[in-house]
Amino acid sequence: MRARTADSFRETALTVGAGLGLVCLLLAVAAPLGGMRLLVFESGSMSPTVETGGVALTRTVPADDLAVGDIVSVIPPSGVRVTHRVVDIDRTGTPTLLHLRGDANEAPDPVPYPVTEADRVIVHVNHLGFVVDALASPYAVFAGGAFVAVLLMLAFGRRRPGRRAREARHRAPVAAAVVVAIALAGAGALMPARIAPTAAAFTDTAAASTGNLSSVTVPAPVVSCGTLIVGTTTLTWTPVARATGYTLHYGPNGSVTENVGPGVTSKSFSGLATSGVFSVEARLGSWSSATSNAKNYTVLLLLAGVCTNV
Amino acid sequence: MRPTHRRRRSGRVRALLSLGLLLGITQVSTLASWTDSATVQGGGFSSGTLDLKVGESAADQLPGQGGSWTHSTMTLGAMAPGESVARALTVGNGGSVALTYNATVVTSNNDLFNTGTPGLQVTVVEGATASNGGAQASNSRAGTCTGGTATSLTTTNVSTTASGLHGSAAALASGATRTYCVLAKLATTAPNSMQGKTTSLTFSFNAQQ
Repeated sequence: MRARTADSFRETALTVGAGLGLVCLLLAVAAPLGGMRLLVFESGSMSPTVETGGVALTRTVPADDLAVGDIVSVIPPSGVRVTHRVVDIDRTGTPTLLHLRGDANEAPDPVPYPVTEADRVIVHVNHLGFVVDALASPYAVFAGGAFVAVLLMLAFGRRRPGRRAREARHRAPVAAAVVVAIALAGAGALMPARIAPTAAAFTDTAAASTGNLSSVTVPAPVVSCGTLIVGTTTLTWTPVARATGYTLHYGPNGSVTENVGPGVTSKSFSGLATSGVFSVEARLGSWSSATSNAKNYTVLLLLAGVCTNV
Repeated sequence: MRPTHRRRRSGRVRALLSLGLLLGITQVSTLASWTDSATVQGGGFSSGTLDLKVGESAADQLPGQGGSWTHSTMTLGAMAPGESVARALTVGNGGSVALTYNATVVTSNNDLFNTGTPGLQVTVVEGATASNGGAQASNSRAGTCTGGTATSLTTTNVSTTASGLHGSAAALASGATRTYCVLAKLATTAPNSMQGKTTSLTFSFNAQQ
């Protein structure tokens, strides 16, 4: 009775071990040939499609085969693999620029990703990533190794103690199995990883706008005729708030220019006989206003001055 | 005797097949080593929320995804050449996971921008205190950013083309905030043609997990 139980345990263990081993072997061989990759989602911006802890099987495809709506995985210069949905493809240049967005994100990723090829998601399963992650723990690795060792012992080990002849015959296969095991483990470690973690990073945007930032308009002064006395003609202009000075134009055709300070608001002309055109601009720092209205003025000795609109 | 023998042979084949498990184990364990060296979140799964908030002295605006907020005190009218205004701008992480962010600034139009001639210039200083003095009557309104660390925006001529705030994204832990002093100045040498123009600045923050 006990022997039969032990036998059925041995059979089950061997069958399960062989099945799992075969799946691993097939995946290890088929995945690189088919450009396949298993991605474990470490964050959830693709939810509810793929949540944190989801697993996706991807296949590497050239950029030309990608379409808007595909979920693709790319490695940006930061080195952290990102898996998001394609929202726009810019094929105008080389390489192609992919605009990606997480389903749960308000906005697309800030910068497009330049790609010549990308890993397109074929199928995805939620929650499986937690299982895969648990398998990557040292305990699981140790348990797996121990399980394989037990199976090897069951298959090649001494069945009945005391039969020295058989023991000798079985040493060679056991040694061979150990060598194969070490070789396989080494090959697995050297093979490029087909299982990779991916971020499906959450993003958020915030825009802060200022109120208005406006520049001043320097108003033009208004010129009037002042008192006209014998031998002197005076012109005045309205003061301009914040002005740092005024620029006067007078003489024949306004050809003479003179700068005066901010407190000055009049200009007198006197002499034997002089005339010209008068106008003013207000200055504010390096800026100046538009030119004021212009006045013709005339001064004649012994006669009253004349001041008229141009 | 014969069935036992056959069973033993198939047992050996199955045991050899199980060696394939070792391949799987080594593949899975590369995931663990990758995860440890990855720069995301110190590795592992992170199910959390990401929320970048802004505000003046506290990051109390724009909870949740997206949105825009008007910093209404960051304003200055009838600016004479050389006048400026400085205000605080605070960025905060209101989510449950750490984030990195960067920002760009654009103007609403190019009325105060002219290639080759300074117009509206923006300076942003991280961790600085904003203060304002002077009077409009004497054309001396001036904002000041005291202390802090300079950013990429230092006397930058801003336009409708985005200018970046940080050379590389800045990190912000969950619950943390960072204060900036934003100074907008009309250059002393702004050309005469820039009289009577109005624009505004928009800072666009982009946060990633």
